Amino acid sequence: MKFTKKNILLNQEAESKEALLKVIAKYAKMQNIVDSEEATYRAFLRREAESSTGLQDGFAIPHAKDETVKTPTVIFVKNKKHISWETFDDQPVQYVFALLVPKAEQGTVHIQMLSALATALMEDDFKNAIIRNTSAAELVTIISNEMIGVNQQ
Amino acid sequence: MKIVGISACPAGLAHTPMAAKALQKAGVKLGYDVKIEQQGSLGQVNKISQAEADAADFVLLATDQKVIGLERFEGKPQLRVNISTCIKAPEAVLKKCVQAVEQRY
Repeated sequence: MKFTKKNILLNQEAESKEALLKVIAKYAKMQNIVDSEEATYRAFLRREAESSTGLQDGFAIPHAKDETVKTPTVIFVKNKKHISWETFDDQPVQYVFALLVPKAEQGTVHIQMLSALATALMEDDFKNAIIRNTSAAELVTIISNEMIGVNQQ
Repeated sequence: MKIVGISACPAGLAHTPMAAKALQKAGVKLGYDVKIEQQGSLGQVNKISQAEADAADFVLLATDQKVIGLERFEGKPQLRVNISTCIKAPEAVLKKCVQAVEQRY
């Protein structure tokens, strides 16, 4: 599972959580990560309906685990506006790590990488690095290091 | 105080390892021996053995999902806490659980 500049969407202008999830679903279809934009969007909403994926400090980690996903993928989105999202600290969201996972994906190295990324989001150092670094190149390095790092342990 | 537990979330992707990490970190900070088994997309990670289950003072179920292997904890106090609360306020969760167990048993 590679994380490159193609996995990063900066300067997005979504006005709501739903709009942002639509942007991600559309982009995932464009990049041939999923078969259906609509099914991907619905999978995101399904997971949000179970419980919100909003975290703290402006971060959220929505995920779509569905048959429509062809390749396990992480897409990072930085939105210009803070958008309303149910979070632990009741703060709006600006930084989004979307996880796209095929439904059959079980116990693989990819899941370990997603786990590593999710747990990194509980570290202030990682969150601050994401907030501070604004170029896609820097973000690629920070995020992929985190995903691969734990993998090597 | 020895605490064992299980974390599990709807997709078994992100919140399961997050809650496990949060609770274990909080345990280190508070001086409790905490081991959380993750039941997610990787199956059972950091699995709790029967010996560890036997040695525990109580069991923390950080989930509102169905979990497996509860027979290991027969006779132990079991406390169920919403997984989001465990990620958001792991120290408060541990403190409250310890308090509840000490008062009840």
